[in-house]
Amino acid sequence: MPTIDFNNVSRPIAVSDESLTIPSVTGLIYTPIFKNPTLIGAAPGYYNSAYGITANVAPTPNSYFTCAIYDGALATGVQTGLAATPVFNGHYFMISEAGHAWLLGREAMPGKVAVGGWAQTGTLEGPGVKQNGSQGLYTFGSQRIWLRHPGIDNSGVSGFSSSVSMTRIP
Amino acid sequence: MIANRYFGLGFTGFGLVPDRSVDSMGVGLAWSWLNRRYGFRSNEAMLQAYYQAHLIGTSFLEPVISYIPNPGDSPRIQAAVAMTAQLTILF
Repeated sequence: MPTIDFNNVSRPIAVSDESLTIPSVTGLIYTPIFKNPTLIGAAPGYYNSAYGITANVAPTPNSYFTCAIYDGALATGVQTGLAATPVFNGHYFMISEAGHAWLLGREAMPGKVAVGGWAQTGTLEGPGVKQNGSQGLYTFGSQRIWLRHPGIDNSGVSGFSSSVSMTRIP
Repeated sequence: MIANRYFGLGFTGFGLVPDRSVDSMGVGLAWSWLNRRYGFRSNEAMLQAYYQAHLIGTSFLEPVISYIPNPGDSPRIQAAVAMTAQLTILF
């Protein structure tokens, strides 16, 4: 499910200090929190999962690199979530992401930034246009910006942002 | 695909209401630039705010208000406001 492993701005930073722990970066319920609009129709995700392989590398305790390749038939309109077996019709969705987390200042407020890129292969069609593949870049981050009772509880304020640009769109 | 650029941001407050340490609240903006080949507007902004209240045990009630000043589906659609309530029970 790439929308959980990639560009997931609501995933909290794992910290060992209980007073810094939060269950989620945000409780917003609109779709862009769960799936960036530029990836709708390309990246598999609820409710259209897809077969694929994901690999994670954590070279340091504060950083990670994740890459994956999925059945990309969703971009041709195939409802991959309804298919019991992979479609593999020559369309593949590839994505990779690197991120780094930190503890900011004397109050050790957790923050994170990540960048990623993706590519959809195969012939893609839209109204009046036909092209070979599509690609995009994205970045997102979050930062605890205020702790009301440092070291005592997790009350306070966090901020987050996410941005995406796609180079070509059918 | 429906969008080619996106920008979003938001803020979340945890335990800011006295004696409501498990509650949270937040606001967010999601702004998408849309694919006009499908007859959409050039862009769509979504503004949303919520308050997630702890009820009892592992249950939470979250009223949400959403405002879309420029619904992307068509330039003919006027601004929209939606109220949503979400009940979450963890088990």
